Amino acid sequence: MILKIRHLAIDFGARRVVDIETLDLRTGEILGLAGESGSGKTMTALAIMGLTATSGARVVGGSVTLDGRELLHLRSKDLRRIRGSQIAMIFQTPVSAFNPLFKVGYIFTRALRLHGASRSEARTRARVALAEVRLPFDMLERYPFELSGGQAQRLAIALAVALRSQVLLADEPTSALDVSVQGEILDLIRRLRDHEDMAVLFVSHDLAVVAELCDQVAVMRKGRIVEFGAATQVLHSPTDDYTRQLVDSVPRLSALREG
Amino acid sequence: MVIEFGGLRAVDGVSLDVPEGPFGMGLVGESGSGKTTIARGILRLLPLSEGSVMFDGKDVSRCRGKDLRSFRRHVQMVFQDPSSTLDPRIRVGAAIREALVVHHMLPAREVASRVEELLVEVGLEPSTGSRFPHQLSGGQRQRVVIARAMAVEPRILLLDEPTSALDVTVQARILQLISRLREERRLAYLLISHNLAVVQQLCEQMAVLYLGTVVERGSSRAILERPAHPYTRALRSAVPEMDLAMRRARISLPSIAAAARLPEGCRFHPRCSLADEECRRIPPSLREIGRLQEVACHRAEEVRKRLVESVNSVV
Repeated sequence: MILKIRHLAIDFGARRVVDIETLDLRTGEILGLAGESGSGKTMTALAIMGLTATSGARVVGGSVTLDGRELLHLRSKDLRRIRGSQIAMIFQTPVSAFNPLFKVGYIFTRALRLHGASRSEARTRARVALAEVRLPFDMLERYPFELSGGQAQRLAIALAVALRSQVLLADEPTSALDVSVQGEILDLIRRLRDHEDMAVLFVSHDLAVVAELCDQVAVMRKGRIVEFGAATQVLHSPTDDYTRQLVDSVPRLSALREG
Repeated sequence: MVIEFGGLRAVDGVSLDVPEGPFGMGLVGESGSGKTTIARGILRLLPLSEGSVMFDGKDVSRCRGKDLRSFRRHVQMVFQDPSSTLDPRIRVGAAIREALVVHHMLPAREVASRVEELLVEVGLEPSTGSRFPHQLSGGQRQRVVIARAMAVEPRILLLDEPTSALDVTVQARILQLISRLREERRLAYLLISHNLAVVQQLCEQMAVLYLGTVVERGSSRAILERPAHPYTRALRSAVPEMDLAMRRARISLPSIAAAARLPEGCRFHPRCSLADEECRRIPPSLREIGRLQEVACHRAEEVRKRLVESVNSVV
């Protein structure tokens, strides 16, 4: 168990927006966090990264441990050391993850150098990571605005790979992408699980994507986990009424014979 | 229809027919394929470089003033993001009222009760009218936008990704609303969506766009069951499926650099595994394949043959 969440409580003003008893993430596993907007799934991911304050919310109780080490209430200096190098996060709008003023290559080497790599090591690791996400090296010469959404998301993932993060938090990473590009990113995340033994927390409202990608799934509603289990089990024979309602709402092509 | 941005033809010779309602036409394709540009071109929110838009047998592509206003009354657009089409400072009831007044839909004393009727028709409480947009949920806002569009009794709705910003349970209810209105009001609509399942549910016909041209069109059912264009086939295979039995290998397309210049010949050929010399030279035009389908591909028969083979190999 690389990441353990226990009794996590987050308040937004007087309202409890996250109230999770227990949630565990294993190495080499993709855990889906599914639910509708406002269910608390993004807030949970932000809490792991120590980013709740930016949204005006407050962690009021519980614990989140990475390899046994408590992450909540760390000093910002210690948090910085963990962010990127041990836990990386990617977002729905990948281009905004990159500072628009700098070339991608500079952003990569700077991040790697800050986490202790030498100049030449940084260059090598950036190239290896680009190969892993199947992008050409000349991407490093580009500015963020020159990237397509799919390329930018690949680069954001490549940065996590270059920094050797063990945990990837992915918040709706394909929701803004075309369906064919989405498929490529999902393939890439699977490869990271299988080749790099990465643990992935995949936050999504799209149950079809969760069904295809995730090993385990936790369905959230109003800050609580209402159902948890193997993705195939939960999404094909849900026991919770709300999960069933969600599953039934997904438009399907299934009536068709073939395609 | 041809629409140019700078020197680039964003929409290049697209022809579509939308019959009298109740009827749904789906428009699918990846971002940049020209879906939204076509809708904007129809409404004359963008100038057409060539081609025409005919409505009720009349050419409306050059009309102005009163004629343009009347055309736009009959063709209403619903956008993806409902909050950007509602003025944040105007109560939603007043927004609907404005549409009724501008188009002189009915005598002033009947306006207030009509606003309430419209709110009820789209499944909202009459009291919702006194709320501001920010006091409503995304789904409620989209209902208001639909009510406002319906207020002027349009004959065609242009729905541009109307549910893409909404939660899945809300999406299901908005789709129900659209299909109910379509029957009750005998509406025709053009539904722009990247979600093939939504198109299958709501549209009897569909057109697949690739870099500004229609590559396949016809019966939605026929196209989704037996795509004849390699692009449609790849798109179809990339749709995530809830049901294990429906899953199949995704056909991955080589990605292309954003093209400042369009490829010669068939626009899809740089990404197509079946492309040959003919495809590189001669742009294919739409032709019939089967009774219900048209495709713009030199190698369509082969695409279909491979499809049958891949199905047999799965079975």
